Amino acid sequence: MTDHPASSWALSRIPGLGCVCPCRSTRAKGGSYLGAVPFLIAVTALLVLASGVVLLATYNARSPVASLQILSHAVPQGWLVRAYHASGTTLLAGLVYLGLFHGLLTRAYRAPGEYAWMLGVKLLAVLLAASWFGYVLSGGAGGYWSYQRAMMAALQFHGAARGLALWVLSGGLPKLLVLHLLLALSAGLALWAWLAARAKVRATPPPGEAVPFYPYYAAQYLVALCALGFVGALLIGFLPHLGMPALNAVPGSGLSFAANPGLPWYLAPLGAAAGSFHGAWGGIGAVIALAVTLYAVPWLDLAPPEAPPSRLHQALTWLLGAVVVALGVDGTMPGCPLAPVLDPLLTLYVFLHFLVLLPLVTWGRAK
Amino acid sequence: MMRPFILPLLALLAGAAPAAAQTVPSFASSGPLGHIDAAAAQRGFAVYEASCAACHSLSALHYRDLEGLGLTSAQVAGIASGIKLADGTAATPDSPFKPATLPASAFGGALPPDLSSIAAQRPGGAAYIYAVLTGYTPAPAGITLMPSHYYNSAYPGGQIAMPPPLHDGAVTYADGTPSTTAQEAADVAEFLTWASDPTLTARHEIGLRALIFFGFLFVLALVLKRQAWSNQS
Ligand code: HEC
Repeated sequence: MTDHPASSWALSRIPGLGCVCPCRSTRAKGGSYLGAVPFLIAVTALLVLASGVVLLATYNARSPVASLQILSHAVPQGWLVRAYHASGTTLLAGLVYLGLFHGLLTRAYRAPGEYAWMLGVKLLAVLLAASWFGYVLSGGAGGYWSYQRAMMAALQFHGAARGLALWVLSGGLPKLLVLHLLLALSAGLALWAWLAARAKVRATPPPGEAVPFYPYYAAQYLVALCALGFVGALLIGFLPHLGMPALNAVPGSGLSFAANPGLPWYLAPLGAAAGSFHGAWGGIGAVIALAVTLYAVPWLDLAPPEAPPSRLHQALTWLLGAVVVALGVDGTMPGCPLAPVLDPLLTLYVFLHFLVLLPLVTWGRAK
Repeated sequence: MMRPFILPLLALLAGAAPAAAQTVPSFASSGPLGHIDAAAAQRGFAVYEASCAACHSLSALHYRDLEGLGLTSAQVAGIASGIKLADGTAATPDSPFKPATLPASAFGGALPPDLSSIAAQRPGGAAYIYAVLTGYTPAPAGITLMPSHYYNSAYPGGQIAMPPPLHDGAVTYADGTPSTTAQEAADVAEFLTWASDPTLTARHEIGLRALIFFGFLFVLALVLKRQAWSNQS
């Protein structure tokens, strides 16, 4: 199939478009549905961004709960816009986690994909940061006390770190709103860069192995899009608060004290990992160490780029996925008596997987 | 082999179900396909005005929001004009609900919570509110009540600072429904469920339609995809 002149004009000028737009000429035969995840991420990100722009029109950071209540009581379909933003975030985070997990499983990070992989990790990091600010901006007690805890932690620092942390956090919700917007835009840019980098390093299939995008992959993407719509309808219609701490239904104020407010599910694994280390520096150190470790995965995997992952390697990756889910489940249940024992063990296992097990299982294959 | 075990179990379940149904009525709004029963919620608003508004605010609502329960704007204007605000003027449909008038000090510091989102805040929602409102019993022997507290079997800890707010005939319903305590409790619980989730009905309707739409489209797309790929190989 030859590209339409207009689409090839656009493709040659807009980096990354080829990865999301169903006009790319050829792909390898027999790709899995998970290959459509980056496309779904782009669609969901547009939805979250668009609903966020509409939310901006009525949101008031000085009286968050009241302004959101006006949105959902008095603005026609205002509740739906809010639901798009909230459930869209859940979908987006889920898809980014899924995309990275798929990358680990298929060794998508191997050369020449290292840079694309690192951009994917960056996307996750910026997205999670943006979503924490969004959680606080919702004005619920969960977000309120999570914010208070961050302020307390900032006060434990000294010198420049304290100054920086307090500069970010003080100033209340109006400042957090600006940071939320900045981080959301950065997430958009990271997404764009990630898609562009992936499109650049995608291997051109050998002649006999290639099929044109249209109609083969276009049909597959349509199936994936319908599945996304189905899950989205399920979340918005029937599970609008999925993975949110129940506490967040209470308006946040000094009256609604909660020592352990809990986090939305997508932040919960990170929260549980950070909580496993002593003090504010321990928590921040754990998060930074996790990010650096994920960045370094292409070099921790010692097998040659073209080798398919071994059975053992795949089994270990599934186990890692299960451990991260367990961390998340633990993190969404504040006050779970097992947490103080379980969280450090699970967190250590995550580091063990990347720093010890991954080099070990791939080492033998290097020879 | 299994039957001897299953039959008594089934009998147990069958016996247990009606007993549970007697204590808590089924709410139209509960369950994944639930909807707000507008007639019950309208009655519940009458109960709120008569028996709760003195102590509990409902700050998220304006009187005009009652149109969401099927009242006409003329009816809402009538309701609002009958409410005297603190400055002596009558409310209008655009006024927020009148704040509670009794000071918190009246209950030894136990603040009556704002009821705007109480149904979302408490596990069980409407069923819990109903259970608290009908859960007042004499304290069991051996339990000493704290000063100005009442024994309530549904409230965590058993002792609540809220005096029993309902009694038979506390309101006269416009639609002629007999106002028993249980009826009042069920109606006000439905009203508070609506207050904390006013778009519940629309959400479930739109959600279900979108599920059917995408489910149907999914099957079509899958057939299309199968066809495309079978031509290829
Ligand atoms: C005389 C004042 C008064 C009236 C009238 C009153 N309440 Fe209360 N209510 C309170 C107080 C005080 C509390 C706090 C109880 C406590 O903390 O022990 C409370 C608590 C509650 C709670 C929260 C229970 C919980 O789980 O924390 C609900 C729900 C409630 N009231 C509903 C109602 C409803 C519905 C009505 C009207 C039918 C009503 N109340 C009438 C004073 C009142």
